[in-house]
Amino acid sequence: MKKTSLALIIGSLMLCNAAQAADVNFSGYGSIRAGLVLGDDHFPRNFNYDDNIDFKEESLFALQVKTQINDDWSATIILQAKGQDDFELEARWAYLNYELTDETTLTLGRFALPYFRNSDTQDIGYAHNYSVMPRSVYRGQAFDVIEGIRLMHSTFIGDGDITIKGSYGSFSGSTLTALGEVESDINNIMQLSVEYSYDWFSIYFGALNAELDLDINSQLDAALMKSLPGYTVKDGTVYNPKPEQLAVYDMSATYVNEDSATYLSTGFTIDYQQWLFNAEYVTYKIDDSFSEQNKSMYVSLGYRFDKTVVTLVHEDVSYNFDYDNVSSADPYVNAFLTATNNTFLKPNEYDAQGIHIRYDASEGIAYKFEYTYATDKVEGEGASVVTFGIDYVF
Amino acid sequence: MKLLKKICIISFSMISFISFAEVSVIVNKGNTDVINTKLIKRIYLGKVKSFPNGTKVNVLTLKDDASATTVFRQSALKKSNSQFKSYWSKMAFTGKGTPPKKMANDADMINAIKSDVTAIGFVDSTVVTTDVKVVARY
Repeated sequence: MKKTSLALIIGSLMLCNAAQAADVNFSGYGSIRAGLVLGDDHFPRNFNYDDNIDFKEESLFALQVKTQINDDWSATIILQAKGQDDFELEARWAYLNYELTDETTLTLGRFALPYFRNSDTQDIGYAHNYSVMPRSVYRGQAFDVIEGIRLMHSTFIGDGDITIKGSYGSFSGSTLTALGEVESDINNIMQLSVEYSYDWFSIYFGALNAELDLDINSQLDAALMKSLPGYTVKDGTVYNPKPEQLAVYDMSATYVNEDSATYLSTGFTIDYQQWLFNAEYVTYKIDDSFSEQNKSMYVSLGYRFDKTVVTLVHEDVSYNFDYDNVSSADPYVNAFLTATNNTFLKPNEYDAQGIHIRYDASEGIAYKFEYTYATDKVEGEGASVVTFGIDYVF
Repeated sequence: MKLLKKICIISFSMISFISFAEVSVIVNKGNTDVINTKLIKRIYLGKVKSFPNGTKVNVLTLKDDASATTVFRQSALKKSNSQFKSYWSKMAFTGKGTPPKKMANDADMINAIKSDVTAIGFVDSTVVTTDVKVVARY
């Protein structure tokens, strides 16, 4: 409801302005992408394709409507329909921009959260040379839009320039996690990033902290009681079987209840003559929960031939398993907790090598092709994924 | 044989015409700012939004398929049309700026510059008139 009303306010503000014959600007972007796994032995988890060709998973359409209210204020809304969400229309961005100075802009409203370097532009397929941004870092972040404020400042340092972004806000809604789609409440999201660009290279550092509540408690309680017959969970405390019925574990060490999560990322790019190099490394963890430290990265090398860009990509996802929530006096509970962490997180570990080809066919249209071989680390099994698509902007 | 020679000469002169087409960056005659190539690059990439005198720049471009556009983007910005579009789509869809406004043709561009002291644009050098001031040539 909160989201809808915000979008409505901004939308109607813009319509009022349009009615007064102001300058209303329409633009947009989108992608139609199809993909499949070659063979039917194994389907890499993080790619979400199988041996049937799928046109939905990575397709999306977006329309931006922007109006300049006066010299300093503008209102923008981006309506986006993603195949992943059954093309349900979402106000992905709905914000007012205030230009404090030429170098400093304040954004108020709803916007894509710049978790990592390209999080706020990853949906614009035309803006990059990959089919989709490497999935190791960019697929399925739990909360990728927030409602709040963002302050952005850019300035020159010698021949280069530096951009600092800071955001503060919150998010509530359903999010995709390792446990599937769950209701979540995320507060005190604080984000800070610094990017320095020089003619042919740029370097980036980003940090984000947030307080997470994920509605997974009853799911975890039920799983424990099912796995360990005789054990009970009451108000977050685990009791061992009768006749002892001793409190053996406090589930708050496994739940995600007002737990702090920190995301750190760094990246480096080179765009020198026809060569393109890009690398990103990110790490994150939700404290005091079943979550373990995620470490994801990708590195890519590309070459530009006139209208074609060929890019080789290596990506990797792994976790640091330290099991610090596995702290019960009861070995059976510990075994359950270890198994839970492993079950949720281990299957996410993979590495992949791929080739991505972009061909600029005509104004605002790019054809993309990708071949990637992905290996899930737990099973040690790999498979080939092929995608092809069209990205556009207007 | 004569015909072949003629064709050769014509096509060579066309090639040299295309590759040496010069582009002039133009502003209003009332604009007294010093505008160098570094500033032009920063303006067209949305990194600078005002002239040195403090007035906001109205940035104009020709259509993507105009040869002056390709020459200008390649020489002044070191970007192809698609690289330019990619760059601006990142800026425009994240609230960082508004891409240069498109003018339909050279005449519209010159008229727009003539009537707006805050405007900057470019045209093929052969069509520049005395109504505008040239600040750089590529």
